[in-house]
Amino acid sequence: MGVGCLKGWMVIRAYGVERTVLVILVWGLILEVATLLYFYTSAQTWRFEFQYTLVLFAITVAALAAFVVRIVRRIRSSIDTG
Amino acid sequence: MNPFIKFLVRRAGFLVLTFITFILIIFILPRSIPGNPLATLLSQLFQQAQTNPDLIKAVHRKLMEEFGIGKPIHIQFFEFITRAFIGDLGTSIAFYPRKVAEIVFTYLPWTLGLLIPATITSWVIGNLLGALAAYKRKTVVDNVLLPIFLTLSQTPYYWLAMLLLFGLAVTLRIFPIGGAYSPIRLPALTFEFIVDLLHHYTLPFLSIVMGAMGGWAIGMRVMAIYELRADYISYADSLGLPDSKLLRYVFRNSILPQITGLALNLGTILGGSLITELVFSYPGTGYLIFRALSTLDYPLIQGTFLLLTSTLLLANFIVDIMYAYIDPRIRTGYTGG
Repeated sequence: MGVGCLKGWMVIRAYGVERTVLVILVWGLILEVATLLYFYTSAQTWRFEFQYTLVLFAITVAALAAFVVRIVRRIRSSIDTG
Repeated sequence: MNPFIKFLVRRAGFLVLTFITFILIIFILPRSIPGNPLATLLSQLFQQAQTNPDLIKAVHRKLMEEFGIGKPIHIQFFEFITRAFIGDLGTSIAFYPRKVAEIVFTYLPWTLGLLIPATITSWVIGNLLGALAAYKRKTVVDNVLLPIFLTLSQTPYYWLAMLLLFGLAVTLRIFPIGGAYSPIRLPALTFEFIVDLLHHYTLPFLSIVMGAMGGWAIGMRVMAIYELRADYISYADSLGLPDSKLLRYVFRNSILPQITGLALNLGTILGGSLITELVFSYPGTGYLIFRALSTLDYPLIQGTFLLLTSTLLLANFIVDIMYAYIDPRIRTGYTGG
């Protein structure tokens, strides 16, 4: 085999990789939602921790959406190609 | 019964069983540590108020009653379960009279902001570098990377954290020595504060990433070398398939044990990050658990672990359902449709 092909490594293929990352993301999302709900119901939305969690929540949702779209695409393409 | 419903019920059953076992462990373990959890609180009260011994005894009795520490263990357990199910995690002993939920939710965002990005980054970088080392085996790249991986994988989290702290914070003074932000700044979503936050964030983040990366890289390197020697690779190579395709096959087959490894190592990663928080005085749940353990704060220990672990179990369950929902083959497999 020749050298110099980084493309193969740079593409992290799914095949279950997403599942574990997905668990971590969903775990983070649940805890973020719980934190946001706690601060909201106890009228502490002025706290920095609430704002910080809101930013983290947005990032987690975006990452989660990207992962789900990726999984759906992979599954569709693998079904199409048999 | 529908096979898919049967699958969900079985998964939910395992979830409940794991949860009950876990609750028993977090209830019994702190109570097996010798010592009086109220001693620290009482000594603080005594120092602050300089009260007379009779009053201290009266306060002690009242606190024992409030925390239910004098009651039989099975009643304490029953009360803990009943309260936990309605969302009441109790009052902290170390932070008396603050509620456990209030304390945990104040510390939790800092752990989430640190742990999740660091875990994913270390896993991705570790696997990529491991594959690179395998591919460039017996070259300078592998000769340089392998000792680094070995050293990192065998270095305990706290030691790596202390080395980084000593090298980059104490000696070179590039980064601050601890905390999540400078004490002179008020937390706010301003540019200056975010820069300060990131400045404090870098060392704990690097510490977790580097600590976890070595193990992933070594695992990936071994698996990739094994795959590179496989007959199907030699055959595919002789057919003239491009390197990118071959590497994709290698990566695909090598990654499976790594995925299992990540799932199994979540606890270790969490533990490592907790110790890192302690070294850097980062105000996350690790720091909180240390405070709770050192003061034998039963409600706080139970509350923190309960929240972290029950949500992790729930996340696993949700992902199972998500996969079944997304992938029609899994769904069909269960429903037999």
